[in-house]
Amino acid sequence: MKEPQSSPPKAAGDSPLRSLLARREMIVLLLLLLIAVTLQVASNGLFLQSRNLSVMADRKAPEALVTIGITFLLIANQFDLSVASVMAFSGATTAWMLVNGFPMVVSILGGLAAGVLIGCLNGFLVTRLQIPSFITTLGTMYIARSGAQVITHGRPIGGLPEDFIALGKIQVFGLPWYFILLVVCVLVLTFLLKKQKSLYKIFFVGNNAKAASMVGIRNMRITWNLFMVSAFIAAIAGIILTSKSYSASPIAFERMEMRYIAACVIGGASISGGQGSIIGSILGFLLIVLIGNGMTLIGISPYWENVIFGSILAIAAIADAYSTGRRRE
Amino acid sequence: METDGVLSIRNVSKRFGGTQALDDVSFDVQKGEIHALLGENGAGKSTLIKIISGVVQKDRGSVFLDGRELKVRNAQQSRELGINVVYQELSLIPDLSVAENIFASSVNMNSMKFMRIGNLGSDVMSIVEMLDIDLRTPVRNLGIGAQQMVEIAGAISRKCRILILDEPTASLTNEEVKILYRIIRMLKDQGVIIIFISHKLSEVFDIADRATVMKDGRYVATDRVGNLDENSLIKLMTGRDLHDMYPPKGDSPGAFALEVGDYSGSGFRSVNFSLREGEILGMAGLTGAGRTEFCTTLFGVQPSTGGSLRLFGKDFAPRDVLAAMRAGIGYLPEDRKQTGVFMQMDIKENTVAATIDGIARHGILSAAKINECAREMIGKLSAKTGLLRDRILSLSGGNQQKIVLGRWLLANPRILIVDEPTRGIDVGAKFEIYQILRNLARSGMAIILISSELPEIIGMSDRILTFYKGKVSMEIDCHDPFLEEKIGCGIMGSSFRKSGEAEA
Repeated sequence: MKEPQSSPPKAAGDSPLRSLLARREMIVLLLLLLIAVTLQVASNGLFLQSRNLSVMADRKAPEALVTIGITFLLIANQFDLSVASVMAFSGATTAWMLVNGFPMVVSILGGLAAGVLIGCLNGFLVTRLQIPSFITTLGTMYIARSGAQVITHGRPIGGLPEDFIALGKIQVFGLPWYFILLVVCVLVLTFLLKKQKSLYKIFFVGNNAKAASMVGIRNMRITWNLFMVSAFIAAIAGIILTSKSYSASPIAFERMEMRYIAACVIGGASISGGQGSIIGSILGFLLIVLIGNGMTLIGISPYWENVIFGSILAIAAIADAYSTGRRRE
Repeated sequence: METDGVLSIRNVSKRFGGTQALDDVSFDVQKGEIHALLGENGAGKSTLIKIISGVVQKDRGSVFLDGRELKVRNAQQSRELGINVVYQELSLIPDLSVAENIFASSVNMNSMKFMRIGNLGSDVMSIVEMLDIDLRTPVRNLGIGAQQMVEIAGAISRKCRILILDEPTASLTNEEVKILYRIIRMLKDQGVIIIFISHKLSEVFDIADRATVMKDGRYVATDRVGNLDENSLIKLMTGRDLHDMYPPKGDSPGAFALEVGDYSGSGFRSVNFSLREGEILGMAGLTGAGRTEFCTTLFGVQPSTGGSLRLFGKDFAPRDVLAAMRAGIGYLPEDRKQTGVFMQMDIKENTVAATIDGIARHGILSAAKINECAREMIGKLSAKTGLLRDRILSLSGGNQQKIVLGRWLLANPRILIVDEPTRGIDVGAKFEIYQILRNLARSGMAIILISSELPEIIGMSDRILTFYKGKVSMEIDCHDPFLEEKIGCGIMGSSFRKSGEAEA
């Protein structure tokens, strides 16, 4: 046998500051600060007014939740295009049940079940029938959207009961409860993602599903569960937003799924799987929101929004390809 | 000195982070020479080739061709200079035809031309003829060996001064190897410089004119192959003698670990045998004879269709891989790249992959614990690694394999199946893996060894099963006087008559 190595391999990184700066989350955060300062100056101080910020947080927090589920799936090397349709579908289901006299709790559970059903279908098609998730969720995206239209007969369902409307207005510590939920989810999941054993296994599944199955990681089950989780989160967001907007519209959140996925990619989730973080995706989402908000504030035509958004996405994709390529070398 | 057509490597050095990959390497390769480049993994062969082909830039030193210094900035440029490398991993496009693939590799990016099959050079045509394949066949439909040939044909369809073959025979059949030799000799006669990397030393003696040995990033020696033999080469490469390659056999196997009764599944049927603790059971056979299929079924990857298993005296039917692992079985897969390593993940993550549940406390993993496990295992295996958080693909094949093996040692199974454990890894790492396996057996683990290399099966096994067309054709003790003959018969499905006993 060979002599054992003279210097044992080290686990510690080089400078912690450097590795922190090299992270995608940090880059996005710096970009966010830069945009915030620019907007603050350009909008004559309108941007950082607490009213503007709280309106943004209030409106976007439920949607930000959705990126969490998508991040899990991207890490597992799967796509979920159906989330935005699931949001509309679940919202419509709950609204329909409410106006048809079901108790509030039952209606909410009904909406959640409708969403999870779609997630379950996604999981079944992807894991059991081995249909690529891109196609599967493209299909269920249309199915759920159509479901929402059938339920609502193509018109928004309004006239929702008072206590359901009140649900969207509950505040905790002076903040909307779902904003607190978002913060707690982000903090807890950011910590747990690489620590909790089941969540940690997602990285192995996304990196090499075959190899994962050969070390006893049940990648089918994990993938299936993640589709359900993603749909469940989308259903929660859809129901909250239904409550907040006093109605359920069949065309709500149309085409938003691409925004959510883009947010995750900007935040460092890899479209080839095995990489991503919750905090990164949330920051990516915040970046998209800020750009939209800021352009309105400083009076740039909203038609330009997608140019900037698209450019940032392209840069993120290039960064991903570059780092993946270098790693493969 | 004659410099025309000579490739000279002078004082080339290269450092990757903390590793000195190449240290002041100098040697010459002559025109029209088949030059074997030998060394263990991590000896620096790959780095040297990458420098010659411009994929990696050297820190110091120079490379001369025809007496002029080569300054290659990237792979494209080196191809224009006539330097072609055929790597182990093929770069063919599976759905395109043979002709399209050959052209794809030779067509210059800047000039879009329509392809005409008639345009293929005569060299390429002679390869295609030797292979007896239709140019219109999609590459997907070819065997792996034929694909390799197509890759070589693509390489020489370009201007070709230097052809570098990185383990070209790793996946070829004997017949295909012969064709490859003919192609190489044809190129040699045309004055092409051929650099040939292989871990199979017998091939070096078959084909090479001269051989250069490297070790730990340094140049060791260059000599005519006629002046060398296998033992001296291994000694140059590893500093060890050949005859103590295999550790001594085990002596007293323990209790039954596994009893297999009429076990059937996809790819094998009616398999009967038993395995004892402390024993290494070799499984010999051709590819597709059912060995891997049997073992993956035992490991719960696919369901069995009949028969029984008794594991440590208790009936056992694996529901899935996790169930098999919990019952004490480990499996080192045959294809390291596809089903072994997590390429984009780091060394420590790869090490603990099979024991995540075991390391976690109340479902939570601690970084310190992961590091501790990984470091302990790497120390035990004497794997050469950089930082634990370096990606596993920064390691050589041999060290990657040690990490994957280490993963199973951490899981501490009672039965370990190793499927082609030394495929594509160098002599030194092979030797170490043999030692590790024997030590595990000595400590009471039951080991099933699948290997296509007969010397390995014979050198390592206490008992040997041969598989033929999905069935166990023979069971042979390692002390059998007609061991090799019997294995040969068993693999081919014929009966052994010399000693009068006949098994089907």
